[in-house]
Amino acid sequence: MRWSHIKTLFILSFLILNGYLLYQFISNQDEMNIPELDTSSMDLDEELRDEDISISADVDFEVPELSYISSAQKKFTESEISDLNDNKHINAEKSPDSQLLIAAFSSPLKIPDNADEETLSSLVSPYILDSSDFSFGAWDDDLNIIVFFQNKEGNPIYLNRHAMLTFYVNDNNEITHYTQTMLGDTDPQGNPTLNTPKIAISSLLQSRYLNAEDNITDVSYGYYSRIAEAEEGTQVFAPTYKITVNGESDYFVNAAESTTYSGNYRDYLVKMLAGNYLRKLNLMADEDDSMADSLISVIEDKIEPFRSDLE
Amino acid sequence: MKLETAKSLLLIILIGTSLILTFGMWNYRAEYEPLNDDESIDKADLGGGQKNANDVVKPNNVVFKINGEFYSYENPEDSANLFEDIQTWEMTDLQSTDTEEKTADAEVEIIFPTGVPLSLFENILNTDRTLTSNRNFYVDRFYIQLQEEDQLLKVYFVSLDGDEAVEGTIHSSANYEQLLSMFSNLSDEEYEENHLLTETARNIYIPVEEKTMQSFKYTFNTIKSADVRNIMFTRPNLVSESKSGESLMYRTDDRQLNYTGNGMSFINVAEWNKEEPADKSVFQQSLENINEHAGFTDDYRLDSYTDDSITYRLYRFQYPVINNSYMDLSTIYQKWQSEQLSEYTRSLISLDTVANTSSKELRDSDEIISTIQQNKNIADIQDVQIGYRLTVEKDVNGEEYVLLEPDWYQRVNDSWSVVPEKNTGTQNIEGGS
Repeated sequence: MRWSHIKTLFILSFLILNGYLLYQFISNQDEMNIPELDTSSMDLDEELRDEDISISADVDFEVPELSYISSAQKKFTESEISDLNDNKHINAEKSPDSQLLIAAFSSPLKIPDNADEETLSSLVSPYILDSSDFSFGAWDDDLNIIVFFQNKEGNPIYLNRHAMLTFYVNDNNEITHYTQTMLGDTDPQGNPTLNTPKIAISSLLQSRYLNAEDNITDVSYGYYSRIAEAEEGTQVFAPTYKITVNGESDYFVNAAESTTYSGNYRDYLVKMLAGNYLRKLNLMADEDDSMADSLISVIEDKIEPFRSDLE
Repeated sequence: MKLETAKSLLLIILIGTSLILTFGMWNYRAEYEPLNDDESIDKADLGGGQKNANDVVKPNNVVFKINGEFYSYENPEDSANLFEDIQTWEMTDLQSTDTEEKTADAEVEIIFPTGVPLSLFENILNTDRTLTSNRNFYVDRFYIQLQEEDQLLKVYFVSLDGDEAVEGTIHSSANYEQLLSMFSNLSDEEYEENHLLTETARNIYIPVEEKTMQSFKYTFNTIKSADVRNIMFTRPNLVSESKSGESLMYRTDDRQLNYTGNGMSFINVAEWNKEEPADKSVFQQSLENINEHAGFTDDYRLDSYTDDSITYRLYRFQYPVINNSYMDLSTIYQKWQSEQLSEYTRSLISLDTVANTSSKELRDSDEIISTIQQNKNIADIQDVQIGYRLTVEKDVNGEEYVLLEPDWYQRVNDSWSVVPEKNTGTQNIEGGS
């Protein structure tokens, strides 16, 4: 009889213990089960509302499977230049290091009014080497320069002076010259897990690039590199989201590490032209190259008003 | 009886579930772990010791001043020991005071290689309260005066711009007696007389006696490139590596590490947080950062301090070491932008064993003083010190070794160069940083 009592007591106490353990177990599970990413995207929606920032772009697309890539600069060959020169509408040359191609139109190429990206692409493509590798990047009104970005692995290399087509537009909306740089073959570098576009927007918010009433109008992805000072040698490009705000300013957010950069095209172009292209052109001009000479004066005129900003 | 069997069964089930639940709770954490970044690999370190402000902020001169005469220890080890004592002395009654020069019969001047915010001294001296709240109060030295009447010591800090001063008191007769006995023994062998230069950027004391010192040949080790790479890049598998000659270049989209000439230079152009004010001083950030990868591989001391950059210099036998090669092998330099390390340049050698020594007679101090005084830019000279010139040389077998040779050095624009030889028409423009 006594044993039966003890058993009842045991059953009761174990019932209580189990109840407590079950409660602990479930609350533990709840606490840990909330994935961190979910909270941050919930926070993001809330934060964006607080800051009065709207998203009109499609941000729910699948996270791209891009790896880091590395690539060195392509050197243009003599035969490529002579192929271009077969086209009687242009004259082409290359810099002594074969990395910069310059071309002048024998009669300036008129850009139709209200030209969109496609019109522009088809307008210039007959005059360009590997034109299918390039896609429209930006049209800077201050400098009146149109840039196309080279595509690698199907995605654009954003704002990189080693992978860019640059069209110099005059006041009559005509292209007088263009320059071209290209990257060679790419090697895949590493394959990190990439963040979602929403996380990229949240990094942008944390970096205080977004202001009240901003509207995120476009999100796309490609490759971007911040270190470009090396003339030769390899550059590494990170999978990067390009986030357009209010249809006018672009920001680049590294898709793996969430570092953020404002894409100030004008500053970049002025720096690129003043620091790099002009130097190469001057080398060519020293050889009594009249095309280089005329392009130098075109570029000098364009960047003159903004040079002091660089200091 | 049937009821009893049912109860036993129930009890067993209850015990079983409680065991399962307990076990489940213990093990739940294990599933959580893999969420951590599996791409990061074991952190490498450079094998140095952990250092705090105390270990890197040290004076490079301690001068005893009495009746217009100046003395210092002949052996800088003694100066270092004295400063260690002073660090334990209790300073109280700290308060601002007027900047008028206070004279005393006997005074000790403790001089540091570079100006630092006065608040830094709170960490390295034994003070009972904050020294100043002014972030722009920089000092490069302080003074301890003996007050005979009260048998106590007065401490003075005067800002570099001369606008502010702070005084404190050391109420210890033991400390007083210790300093007093030094002053009464200044004629002893362990002390030497100094000459004071005042036309220079700051007061400089130069020991008068001629000196013969040792040159040292060291075997040395260089830290491996893979170790440095793993420290500087959080995800080494994303790094591209290229080699040209002896130099290695590691690069990602925003970071670049050049491993060359026994040193490294790293830049990071990533921008994480715009305009985030740093809570910690750049000095504190750099200490923590270097300690994180055990980067103080030798006796490195604070050599230069600016709003956004810090330089540490190698010291050997209490003397500064100077190297003027393209990769400065005697310094660690860090530049910070808000809370982000943007530049990091450093020596990767660590001196191993002394292979050989030889004696070297240093130039006469009279000659040094007259050279300094004839320098047109004397007002720019911040310091004159005996230092070791570090060079990497090759012996007959092609083995590399490090040579440390003592010489007189002057500091201009925070950069050390050999005091030019007399009667050479052109100035020696060898420059280091």
